[in-house]
Amino acid sequence: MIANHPVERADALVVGAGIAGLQAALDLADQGFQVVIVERQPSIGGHMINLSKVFPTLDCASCITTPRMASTAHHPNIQVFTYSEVDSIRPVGDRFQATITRKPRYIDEDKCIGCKRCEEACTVYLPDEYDHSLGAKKAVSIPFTNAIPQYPVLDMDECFLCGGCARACPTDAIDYLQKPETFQLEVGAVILATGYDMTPMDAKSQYGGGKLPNVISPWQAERLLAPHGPYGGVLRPSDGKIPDSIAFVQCAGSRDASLGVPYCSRVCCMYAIKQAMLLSGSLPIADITIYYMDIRAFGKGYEQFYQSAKAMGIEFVKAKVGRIREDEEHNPILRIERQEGDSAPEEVRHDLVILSLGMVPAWIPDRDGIVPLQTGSDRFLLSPKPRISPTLTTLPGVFACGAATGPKDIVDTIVEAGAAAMQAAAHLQRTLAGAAK
Amino acid sequence: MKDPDQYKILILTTNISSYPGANTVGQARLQYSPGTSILRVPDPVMFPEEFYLNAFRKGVDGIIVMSSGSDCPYEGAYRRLSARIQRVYKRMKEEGIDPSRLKLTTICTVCKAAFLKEIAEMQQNLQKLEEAAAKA
Repeated sequence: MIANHPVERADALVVGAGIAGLQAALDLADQGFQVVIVERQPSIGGHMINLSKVFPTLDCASCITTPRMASTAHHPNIQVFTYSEVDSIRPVGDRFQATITRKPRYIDEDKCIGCKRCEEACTVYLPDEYDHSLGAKKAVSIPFTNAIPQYPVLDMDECFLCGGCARACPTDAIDYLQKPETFQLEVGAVILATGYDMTPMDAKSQYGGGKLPNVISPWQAERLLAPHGPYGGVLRPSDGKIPDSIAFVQCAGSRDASLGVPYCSRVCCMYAIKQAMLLSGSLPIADITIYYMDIRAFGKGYEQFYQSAKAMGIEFVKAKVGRIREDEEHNPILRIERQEGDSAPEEVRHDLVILSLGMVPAWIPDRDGIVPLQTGSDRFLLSPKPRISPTLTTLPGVFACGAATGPKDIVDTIVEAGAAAMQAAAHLQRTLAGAAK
Repeated sequence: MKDPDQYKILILTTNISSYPGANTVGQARLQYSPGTSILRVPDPVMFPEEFYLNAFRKGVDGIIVMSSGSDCPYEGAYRRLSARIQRVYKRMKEEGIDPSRLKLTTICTVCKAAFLKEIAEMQQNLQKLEEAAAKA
């Protein structure tokens, strides 16, 4: 259920409501445990609800995520706190004391009926973070159409308090004076499903430092390809032109010590191949090139997926891209050095370039002392037994799953979420049995 | 000629994909014809051929079957559904009902534009049929 009021006690706390957190919470709740989910975004669903399709089956990402979101939001054993932060988790005997802050939406959730009148009345337009700034949203808005819960969030930094939304609201739900609300929660086990972020677009000055309009992130490419994307088709941001020549730059944020990301992010090869296939579907005459160091197609059906992309005419060029600049029409120009054949550097012009950014942890609990546990040199959560128990953390009773423990695709994330839920269930049974004695 | 919104269009949707899609259209405040009736079922494959013919006999102008397509959770259901729709087409021809009054399509949970397009196309198609009938 969507929780609008603090809860004092539960069996388990799941931090994060992406696909990992949803799966872990459902697996625990289906066994009868009372679960609290804390999600910092205004809607559950995580990154996956943002994607167009998933590899290698090209299923609709939203269609797989939406039923899990709905099951979670309606599960009698789950309480979901969205737009909330975990301030700290401390072990107390066998159990944990968590401090959680509900951030103000400036909306009274008990009164709001999700009618969007406030959004219609608002006159302030802001970049839409759900569309990764390709579209616009209002200063008071429901994050996206199939968001759960359907509560708007008012951006107090950008609102100029014109009062339009408050006048339009039929239930008097706008509360400009709402304050953050902090509460304590006692739980028996914790699952960290805090997910990933991507290396920033401006991390590499060689790749334009995030300033070239037609060099976009893979998240933006997902939005362009989604059926409910910002432009209703694949158009390049600078001038709305349909791109004829599109390039992917692989390892643009991974295997790069200069970014502090020496590891392989595992999914970039596959998402680039997937996006290239979808692009060739929506732009059949466009030339699509993938500049890569190595193609790592490790999962079930992934190699076949790569081979079918090649068969579809997507060009794979083994080359490292050294620099990206642009001409006066904002066409990106890539300086590349081929690793096969002629090794002389050359410059290639494209209409649109997608940087295959790497994965970094979204939440580093030991940095701010939120949870007293250890992370590895890559900043992902560390397991004391990474080979046989990858979902353990250095704090007994706290488990981790999904991209919180390292770069991972959706399939592995879901499997690991189930494993973490089982470990947490076993831990809860053990501590309950101990308490009974 | 009728106003396009007066055509009775029956839409069969699936629990997993096209009904949430219709929901998304509503949540996005996008408007579509009040002449539509949306039925929500696990999968339309369960409706016998007679259902479609009865619907046309009772005054439904057009039927859009919005399936889950490749996202369908029921194994083999989509293949059987398309085979069944083929049989319906055959019977429609036998009874003199224009086959374009029935359409099988796939709508996902976020296919807002495609959902509206299917309805608009069906309305245009029904108008054409009405024009042709008036000429005849």
